[in-house]
Amino acid sequence: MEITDREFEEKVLSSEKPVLLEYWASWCPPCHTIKKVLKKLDEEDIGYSIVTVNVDRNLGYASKYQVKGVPCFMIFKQGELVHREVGAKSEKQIRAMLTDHL
Amino acid sequence: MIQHNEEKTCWNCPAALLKGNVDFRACGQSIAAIRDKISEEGLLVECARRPDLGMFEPSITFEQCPEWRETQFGYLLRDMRVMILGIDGYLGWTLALKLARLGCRVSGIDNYLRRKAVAEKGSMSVVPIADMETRLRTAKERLGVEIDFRELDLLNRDELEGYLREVQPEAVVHYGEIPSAPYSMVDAEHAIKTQHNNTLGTLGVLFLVKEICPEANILKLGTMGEYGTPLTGRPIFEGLFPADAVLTWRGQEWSMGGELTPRDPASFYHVSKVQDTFNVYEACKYWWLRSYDVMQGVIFGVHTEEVSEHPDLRTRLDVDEWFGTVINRFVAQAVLGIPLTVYGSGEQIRGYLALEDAMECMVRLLSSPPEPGQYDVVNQLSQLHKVKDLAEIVARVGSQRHGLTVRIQRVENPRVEADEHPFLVVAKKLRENLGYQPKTTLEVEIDKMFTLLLQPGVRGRLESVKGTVFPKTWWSGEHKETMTLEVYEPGNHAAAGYSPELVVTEHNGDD
Repeated sequence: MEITDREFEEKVLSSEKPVLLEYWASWCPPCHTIKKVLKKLDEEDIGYSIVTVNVDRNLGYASKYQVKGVPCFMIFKQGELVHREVGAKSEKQIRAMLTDHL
Repeated sequence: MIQHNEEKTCWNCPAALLKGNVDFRACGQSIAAIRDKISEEGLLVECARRPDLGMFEPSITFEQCPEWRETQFGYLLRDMRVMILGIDGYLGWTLALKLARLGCRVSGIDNYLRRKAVAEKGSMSVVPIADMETRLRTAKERLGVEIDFRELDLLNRDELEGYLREVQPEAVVHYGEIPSAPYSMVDAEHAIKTQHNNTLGTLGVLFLVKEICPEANILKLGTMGEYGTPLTGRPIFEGLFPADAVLTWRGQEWSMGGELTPRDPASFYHVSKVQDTFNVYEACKYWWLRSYDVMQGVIFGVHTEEVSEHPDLRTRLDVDEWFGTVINRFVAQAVLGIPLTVYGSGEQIRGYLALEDAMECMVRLLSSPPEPGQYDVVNQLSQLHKVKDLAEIVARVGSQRHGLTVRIQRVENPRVEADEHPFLVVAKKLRENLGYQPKTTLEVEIDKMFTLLLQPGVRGRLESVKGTVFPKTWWSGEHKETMTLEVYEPGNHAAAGYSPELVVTEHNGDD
């Protein structure tokens, strides 16, 4: 689900479920290719809420969390950033990352 | 009706001006430096068509926006200003008429390079084509459309700059290239001319678009020939690796998702197109230009609704060894009673697309611009065939529907290319994302070509250029005759070698 900074507090920081957040940019080809994988994961019951944020259109939290490279994957639990990884990932790698931090 | 592009937003719209409101940076480059420049609200846009709206978030959908209107090909920007580079060519003219009829404001340039290069070969379009003045007048009289034209060389950047400033295009279709592999292999002069025109022409256009209309949707014509035909049989993806393509090395894995796939061009012409690919890719990255790089298969055919409207609206059809594409050449040979020339074993597999389908694909791509900075690639083809199978189909249509006696000849292959190779091609985006479904079958279009080429006026022109069809240009640079290896009756060559495989949806071919 695509969100903006205005929804960040509610959808990420106050989420009951753990959150997989992906920062992306329109000029980043890997960000576009990863969309399908995230959509597929979102449709499964994997125990995470999955959100995506366009880094150029939402600079507030991106600055706060010092997002440099995209795609930037972050895992939040109870409002805390517990893990981040930068760069394209295969579906297998994303699943492994999620399992490791559930 | 659900349209393929109804959920696209201002973010995709060339009328949404970013107003220099962006930070040009690469992955891994800090955004800290630009925090002062842009408010924490993030990126806002202004609508070039509705400046009264002020700056706003780019979130209005095409379905909601009154500037986008519904057509049979999806929502299309009302009166979209489209500039076609190479508007006099086989594809350029055909697309100009289609777009104009759809309500676009079409402009274009051409320096008649194609007409001159075909004349240099001692050939001409076998379908008679009118001069540009007559074409434009006829388009107005018969179709009620105004097309603006400048005779202009793509490399004349000063004049092109003036014209771009005048038109302020919202889309640029770049057909302004020398589209011939054999032409580029004739000698140094032709190779240099091809690469100079194509590569430097494209590079110049990119700089001008950046300066004048950076929001324009650039449709850049590439070719499936950029990929080559890898003997491993690995998939030919749509320009960029999908997320699940993984590089494995020393027991470790890396996703290749989003990276450019390997290119293995097959002539100095194809090299020019690969260079274009990199230049367009970089320009999108550096300057937030947006582009579809269209990896097009071999186009065949003569028909669209618009060009068939009047003889003076016809698009060109070349059958010479330099500019005639294979199916077009085969039909011409069948009409002339010359055995169809299959190079080498004829097992070469290529992608193909009918002219009318190609035009629909281009309209759909124009209707759904990429996002700012997005470089996207589509493999634009509807079918894969072996060359020798095409000869069989042309022979069958020619004999069954037009009473012709057609034979096939295998000749020495003057090209340096794999005669036999696997070919697994992915072409999903046009179908999955842009709502395209192929409409024109090979047999139907070949039948239309026979009908046109058998007309006495066209037949006479074919006779006068028949000496230009047989291949003489050797990739080796040798100047020698190409020998015929075998002449055979259609139906006498059994299927052999590899089978083509085309993946057009998410799940076909997965097993």
